[in-house]
Amino acid sequence: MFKYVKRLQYPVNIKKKDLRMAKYLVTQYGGANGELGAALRYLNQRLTMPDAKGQALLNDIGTEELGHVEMLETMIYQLMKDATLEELKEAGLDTHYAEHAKALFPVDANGVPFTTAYFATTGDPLSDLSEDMAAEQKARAVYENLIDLTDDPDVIGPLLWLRQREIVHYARFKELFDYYEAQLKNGYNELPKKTFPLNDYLIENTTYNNYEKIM
Amino acid sequence: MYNYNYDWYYMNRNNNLYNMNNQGKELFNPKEGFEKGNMFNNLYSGYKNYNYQKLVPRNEQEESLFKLQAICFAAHDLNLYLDVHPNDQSMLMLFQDYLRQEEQLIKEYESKYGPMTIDGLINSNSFQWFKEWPWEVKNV
Repeated sequence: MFKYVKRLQYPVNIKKKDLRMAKYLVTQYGGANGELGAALRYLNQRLTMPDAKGQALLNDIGTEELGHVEMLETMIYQLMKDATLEELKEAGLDTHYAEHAKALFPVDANGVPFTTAYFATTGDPLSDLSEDMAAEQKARAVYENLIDLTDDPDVIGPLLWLRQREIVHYARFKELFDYYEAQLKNGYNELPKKTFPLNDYLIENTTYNNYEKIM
Repeated sequence: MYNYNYDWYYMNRNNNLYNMNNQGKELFNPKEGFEKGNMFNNLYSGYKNYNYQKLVPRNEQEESLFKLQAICFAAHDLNLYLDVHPNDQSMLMLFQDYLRQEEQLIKEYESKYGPMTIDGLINSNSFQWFKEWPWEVKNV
């Protein structure tokens, strides 16, 4: 289960309101490459990863992404909270106000609402991990676009930090991908699709036959 | 706002030991790793000519919070590494050392500034859960 801890993973203290930036930033909350999609993608895929390594990595990165959702929520809230109705209209956020007032709502930078179609799951570990690696690269690219769009150091700091996390997650997914791919090349016909009960069989170099015995 | 003497030195002590045992896998200390968002030197990659944000605490509470966040971050980044490399014993030892520091720092923080999780209220004589949500801007 999940337990709330009353702190952010990394500090966010934005003193200056900036509605245009809030409008762009929301895409990393509710857009195709955003943190909400990432969290749900990994927490979904973790159940059908073929071994304990994959299950643990997807579980732990998925959990961290929930912390990033929280950081994005905080950034958007702080950028918007002191805005007047006039300012919202000027920034083109009057349409947001009509439905949500100043409440958060996960959409992309063009206002397209969040959809579960953003987190693909095939049940095939190599394909799922390729998806995850691409997702991390896309999120890194979007963070770079967002950094280009602001000159507020209070916003740039957390964006640089979140961008760096995409790089680390990509590297870990790639390691896992390479590991599974090597398993296939070393004589497995296919990666096992069963996941329960949890076991460590792949951590030691057991053979496919041993795997079947364990299951 | 005032200049607070910010001493992270004690956090560096274990990394030297770690580097001696593991050639080529250099780790940042928890403060630098936390500020950069990456504990692993070989994975770190900056954007254009931007410098990562240096976190300067504005009061004692922020100092305690940043230290705690840094250690939690360091432990978490090693956690992700260990998920894929569970047999790296020296990394496991460093990870456990960070966990011990984390436990201590959380205890200290909660005793001064209130609980971070709801079960921290166990010995409290009032329901002090309402103050200071982390999404509010902290003006000092």
